[in-house]
Amino acid sequence: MNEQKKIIVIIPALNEEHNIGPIIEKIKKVMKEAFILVVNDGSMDSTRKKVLTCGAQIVNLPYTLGIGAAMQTGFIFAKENNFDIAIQIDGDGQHNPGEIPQLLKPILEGKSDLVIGSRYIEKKGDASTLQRRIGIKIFSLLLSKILKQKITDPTSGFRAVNRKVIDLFSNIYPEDYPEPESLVVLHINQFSIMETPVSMTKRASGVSSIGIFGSIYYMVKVILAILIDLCKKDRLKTQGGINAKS
Amino acid sequence: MLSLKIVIGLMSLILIIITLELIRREKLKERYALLWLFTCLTIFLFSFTPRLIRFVSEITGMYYLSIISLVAFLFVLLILLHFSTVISKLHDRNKELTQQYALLQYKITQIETRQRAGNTEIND
Repeated sequence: MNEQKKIIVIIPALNEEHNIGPIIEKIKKVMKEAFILVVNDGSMDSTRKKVLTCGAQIVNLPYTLGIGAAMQTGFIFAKENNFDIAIQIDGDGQHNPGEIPQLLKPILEGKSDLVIGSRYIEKKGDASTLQRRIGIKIFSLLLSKILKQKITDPTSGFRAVNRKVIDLFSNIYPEDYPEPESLVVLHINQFSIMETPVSMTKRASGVSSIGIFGSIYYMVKVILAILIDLCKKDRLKTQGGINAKS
Repeated sequence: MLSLKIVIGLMSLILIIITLELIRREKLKERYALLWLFTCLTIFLFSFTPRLIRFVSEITGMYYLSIISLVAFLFVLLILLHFSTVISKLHDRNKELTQQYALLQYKITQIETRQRAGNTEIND
């Protein structure tokens, strides 16, 4: 009989008053015992109120720090409150809470330290633009090369991590391009990574509008950030700062 | 030529005075002001030592004003670079403090809720 693991679901949210309610409800249905924590990244709408009415817990950042720092806040909370497993899920409704158990399985079985919910393993589709798919393919090739294993969806924020990773991320978590960069950080610290197929929906509201040059510029920046992280090998293993104190 | 020396000498002197005044008013921290003072002093000395100017002029083939401008420009670049590193450190500390602040707020809310619940129990 497996001893009951303490699980936390971390939802970073910035102005998601319309999406956050339904997500919390869905998570409650699938994960009855899990602790749901919304990290409010300085929302200016009624996200905060919505979360409280849904009966989930919320930590409110006084102003917007960005997804990296917001997610890290969730990890610090998870570490301080001794959670065994953390689920990362976006607050915009793109991820399907129903698929959380699939992410959990390898963690519970001890098969991996981090599990990524990938859109591209079974080609379940994600209704993303061609531009984004090309970009993600390029990142996928780069990270597969670096990690020496096949990574199909390095930009997916739908993940599950175990206690060791919670401790690491509460101390070190990249701010600029957290999803791919965090994989590099894990690799440097010799943690294991796995992928499992999930489906994602396109953002209900909001449009990506950076154009072709913007996309190329963005890709170059991400690739540069990843390569620089590799050069920082020693500094990404331990770090000072107040979050490092246990 | 002489008037140029005086103009530049005067400008660097005024900058030194402004810097000192900013320190006095607590608007500029001493540790950052030091670089500025050093820069201004260097320009000031440069502008009034003919031998130094002649030396650099012979090596580089540049004229007086160009040399001074180059020196000033390089120093300013170094100062800006230094500031970028300072800002980077501040950014990190700011992030950590903000995170800890938000988590503290959460803990306080928890304590207050528990207290309120405790009080209502006592009052029943």
